Amino acid sequence: MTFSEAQQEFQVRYYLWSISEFEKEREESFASLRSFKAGQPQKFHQFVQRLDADDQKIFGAGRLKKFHPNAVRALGENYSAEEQTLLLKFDEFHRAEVVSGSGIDTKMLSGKVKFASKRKLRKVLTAKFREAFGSQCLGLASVDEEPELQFKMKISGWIFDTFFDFGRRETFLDYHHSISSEAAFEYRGNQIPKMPMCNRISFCFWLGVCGQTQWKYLMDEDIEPVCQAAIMCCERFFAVAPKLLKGLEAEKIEGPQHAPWECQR
Amino acid sequence: MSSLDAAKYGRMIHAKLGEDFIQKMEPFGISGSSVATSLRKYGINVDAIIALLPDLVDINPANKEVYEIKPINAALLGEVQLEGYLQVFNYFDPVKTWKPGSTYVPPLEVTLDPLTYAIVSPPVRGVILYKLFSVKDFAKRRALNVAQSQTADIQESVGISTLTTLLGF
Repeated sequence: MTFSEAQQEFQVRYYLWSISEFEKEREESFASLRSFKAGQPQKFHQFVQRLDADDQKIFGAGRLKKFHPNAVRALGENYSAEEQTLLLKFDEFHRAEVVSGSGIDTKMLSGKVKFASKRKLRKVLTAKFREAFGSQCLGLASVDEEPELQFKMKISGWIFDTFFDFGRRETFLDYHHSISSEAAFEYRGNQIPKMPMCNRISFCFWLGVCGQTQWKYLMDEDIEPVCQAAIMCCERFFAVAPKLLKGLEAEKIEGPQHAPWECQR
Repeated sequence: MSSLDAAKYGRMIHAKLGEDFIQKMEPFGISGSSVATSLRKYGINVDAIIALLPDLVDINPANKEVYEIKPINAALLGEVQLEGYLQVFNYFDPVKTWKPGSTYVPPLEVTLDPLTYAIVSPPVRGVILYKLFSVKDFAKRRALNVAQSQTADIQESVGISTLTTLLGF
């Protein structure tokens, strides 16, 4: 199997799994989205609460198509008229909030709020990640010495990188996974994988909520629950990853002969 | 408007435009991430620490655009900063082609609180400029103008009556 065939197969499986995850979230009234107190996930949550069950399903189907375009293309799916209508309604809902100024957390941006310490957030998160997945991590010993928090694991022959970011002004927690081959090209001191299977995998992305999973405006009391929520998101994906990659194990895939930047991403 | 207020509204406008950008450019819009994180999300695992923080990044391979948000009096600073970010993006990306943003169209007006709003320009060479308008400031200036014109009016009346007395009419 060539890398592009494997990548397409993975994207289709990831999309189908995302549909089932969305349905699970819907049945639980999108309880997981409550851990986000600001930003897109909160708006998404507000919007879906206004929809009845049928419209939630239609809206979800439309959002997932938007976030998994390659899989949608491979499966020959299209947007239905109902999906398009609900997607437009969501855009209008969002635009009205931006223009009207509603939804701005004035207090949080006043400059007077004391946000959680990024160092403490990193410490708690690192401890929880180690506890949950430490036995599967590669090069764990050097994690604390690195300025950027990144964990490496090997699943089905692929390297799973999990990146965490803590924000610049206001403290936030942002995470995503990438799946790539161990074999890499070196470019200006960095390793560029020969087979970048999938990138930007995160809870909000796979549910079609938004492109980045970010818990914003974190205060001291948010550290524990938010770190716990992030670990649960990681757990969900790590648990399904071997199934998504079954038959697509890295050693079975024929990698590209040329550097990845010479072919279309 | 005090500099503290300007900073507070600056943070608000960044937050609002960040959310708008992520929504309009989804799923490729990134806001609040460093150059290194943006590159990682694009698919280039950069090991270096790059503490540069562009305001908005569109990692759509068809666009690869970077934006900086600045108040209207800091346009030049915005351009210089953006140029620095682009150099780093293009240094680490073998494909290069990162450029100043032009695809995203921000809302023309953003209300920040009941008495303050911002007028926002479309990106020019990747820099999105905004100007804050405060109804409070406007009311203060208007009151000052009224007071000045009333004072002038009184002074004029006093002047005329004094002159009339002096001339013995």
